Amino acid sequence: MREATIREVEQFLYREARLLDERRFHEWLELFTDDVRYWMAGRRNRYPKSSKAIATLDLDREVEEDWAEDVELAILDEDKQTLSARVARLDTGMAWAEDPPSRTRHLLANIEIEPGDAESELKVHSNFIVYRNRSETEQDFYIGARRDVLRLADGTRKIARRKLILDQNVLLAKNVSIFF
Amino acid sequence: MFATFDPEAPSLREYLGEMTWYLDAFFDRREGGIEVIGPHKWVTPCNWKFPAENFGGDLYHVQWSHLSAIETAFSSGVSTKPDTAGTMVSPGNGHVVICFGPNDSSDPPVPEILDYEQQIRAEVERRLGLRSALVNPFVGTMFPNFSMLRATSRTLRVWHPRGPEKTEVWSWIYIDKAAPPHVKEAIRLAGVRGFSPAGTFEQDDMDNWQECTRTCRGVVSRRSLLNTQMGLGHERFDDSLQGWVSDFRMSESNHRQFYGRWAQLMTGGSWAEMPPANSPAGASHA
Repeated sequence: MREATIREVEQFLYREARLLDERRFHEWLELFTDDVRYWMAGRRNRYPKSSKAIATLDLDREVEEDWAEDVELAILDEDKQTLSARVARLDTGMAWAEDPPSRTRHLLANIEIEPGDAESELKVHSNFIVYRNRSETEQDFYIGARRDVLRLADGTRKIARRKLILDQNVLLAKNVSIFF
Repeated sequence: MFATFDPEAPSLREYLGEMTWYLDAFFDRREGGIEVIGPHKWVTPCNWKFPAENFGGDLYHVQWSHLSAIETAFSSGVSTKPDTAGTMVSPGNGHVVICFGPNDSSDPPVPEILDYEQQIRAEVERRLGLRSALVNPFVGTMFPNFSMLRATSRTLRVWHPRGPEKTEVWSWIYIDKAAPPHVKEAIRLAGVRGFSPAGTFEQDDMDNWQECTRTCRGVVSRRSLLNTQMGLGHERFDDSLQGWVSDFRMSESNHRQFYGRWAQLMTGGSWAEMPPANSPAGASHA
């Protein structure tokens, strides 16, 4: 991977994080392709295939990956239209979970870039810590990984797929009213 | 699915009483019943009774709490329309259900779901019988902490009390087993997008329940009784619906039944001393 591409992708992601923290959601939406799938799953307890635990008699548990499959229940499973509607909802002045708004800080690390499936695409791995503070003393940490597909179209880098893996089984926040 | 450690407890059938028909109206509308996906699990800082009451009787929060999601097309928002028919129904033992009129429903504006509901309507009415020509149950709580919803999303959930001001929600999306795959997928997405920790409806509910719980802790609010008088005197036992029914769609008649039963159980002795099903639990506490 060329050094210039690595720097460019990092700057793209940092700028995106800043747009979220500054609540510039309309500008943030423009970073996504029209065919994006924006998806977040939690994780659950599964036994590894090598486990001798009695519960492994249940063949369904013999799966190495412990996050939901694409067709299972996710915390977020959005396309461009519903993502836009979520932003429009925040603009109604009646989206109470964000009124007063959360104060967020998106921290990104472990950025790794691989060639994508198409010439115009890149696969980007990263880890995130998102701190949310709200009202007086409410606070939550959302920590997990992103698996993005970035696509270059007409000279512009956009997010064509985002898979978010949150490292919690029982979600310890009361809700998810922010973007990642 | 249901069990108890109490050897003195009534049988499930007896405990449910007339609620069985209302449960069927959610979960047994087609041959084969339902299948579920999930659960979502999350912890919310509220007393468990707020969500239980919310699903069982709080129709008046929709127009204010959820207008943002309705205006941005996550639901058709039928309950906000003045001409919508409907009633509160309490079929006894503290169970509480909110019903629209038979011609009203509140599905998301998703063609796959709306077409499907049209296609199966005659079949569902045959299966559920005459009562389904009178009411369309769409949200409710099976006393005390099992709730279900069939408007906007299809969800069933348990509100687990996890100590003071902490409730752990376990929530599943349910789908008619006999529904075709593209309908199941549309309902899965409607569930994720409407009623889940990130749901465009539910994320605001959690904030409400937290604030309600916190407000009740206040020194001055603890000196007051909780007021659930809305529609008092405008409720009656309805033979065809086999439950206590409000005259108006906006009413706290279900709150009175829910909290009335809760008060009976908290202050009463053995199961044998409990008033029978279908007695007006709320009346003695009104």
